[in-house]
Amino acid sequence: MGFASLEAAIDAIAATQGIAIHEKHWKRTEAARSLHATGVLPKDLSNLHRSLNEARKAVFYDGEDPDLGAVSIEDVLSDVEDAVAAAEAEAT
Amino acid sequence: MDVADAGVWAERLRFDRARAARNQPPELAAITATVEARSRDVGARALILSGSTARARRTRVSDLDYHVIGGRPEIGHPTEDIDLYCDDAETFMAKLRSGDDLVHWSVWYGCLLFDDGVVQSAATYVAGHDGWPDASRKLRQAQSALSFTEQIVDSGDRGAALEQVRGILSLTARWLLLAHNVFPLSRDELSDQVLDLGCFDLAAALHRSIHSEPELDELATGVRLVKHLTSLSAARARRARLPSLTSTAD
Repeated sequence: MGFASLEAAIDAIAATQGIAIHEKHWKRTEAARSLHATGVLPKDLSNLHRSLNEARKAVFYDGEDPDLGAVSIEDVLSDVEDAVAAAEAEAT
Repeated sequence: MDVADAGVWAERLRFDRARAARNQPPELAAITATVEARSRDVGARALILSGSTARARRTRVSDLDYHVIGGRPEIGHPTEDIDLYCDDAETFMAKLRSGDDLVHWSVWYGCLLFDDGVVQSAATYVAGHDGWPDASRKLRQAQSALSFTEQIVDSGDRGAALEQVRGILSLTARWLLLAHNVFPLSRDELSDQVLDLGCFDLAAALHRSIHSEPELDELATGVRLVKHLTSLSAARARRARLPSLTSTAD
């Protein structure tokens, strides 16, 4: 669910900045990078987005446990929550 | 066809490279050229262009799929959704022997871009052992993905739900096809393949998940369909319809 939440947050913030996503994962990764570069997001979440997408596919298609490398689940949740909060702030 | 014969295999390589070139517009061909160069740089033993692109059946939801054997290339920031499956040679062969359908798919339907003989050995093994993917593996994948998919549908995120439902419908189709001795081709071909089996509801749901924009209630019906079909034996699931759909139709 963390991945879906992150994607929804990126979609929402990207929409306010006129960045088209077209429901493509790679465009969300690029949007996360761009949103950080332009100061809209305080942190570059592009690597997290890409890692979570890879983990999603591994879990879904290969039945593997998610492998996030050195990143802890607490860090992931914190970053996702921050992205959702940023999206909510942009919406208001 | 003797796939162990060097001349036969060299001909396949020539044929597959021509097929890959034919099936890709310039922007995809450029990405493939990069993946190939970086695969060679990391000492990969083989590279296969896989999935819908290899079958010339790309849709708006297609990824660009590759299978790399013997290396993991770094591909930077791609301008497409890329699925890069990487196995070392031992794992590739072990997966083949254990009935991993993705590996079987790569060996028989992928566009082989280069091969030092590892894929030829795999093809020789399959031909000599009458190898066939393990259908039950796809059933387990569909069943294990159901709960997560239900949660996504319940969350109301239609885009994410559509992707997940499309995934479990595809897994279910691949299970039924393999269980009935039909090799599942690319995603866009699955609906016609399961229609030929007699799985009308599954064919319709899968086709709409690729070519339409179903709303959440239709996606929830897709989840119920998968739950129903995967609760049955493959033989019964082939002719089964979702009870509520049947009564509605009546």
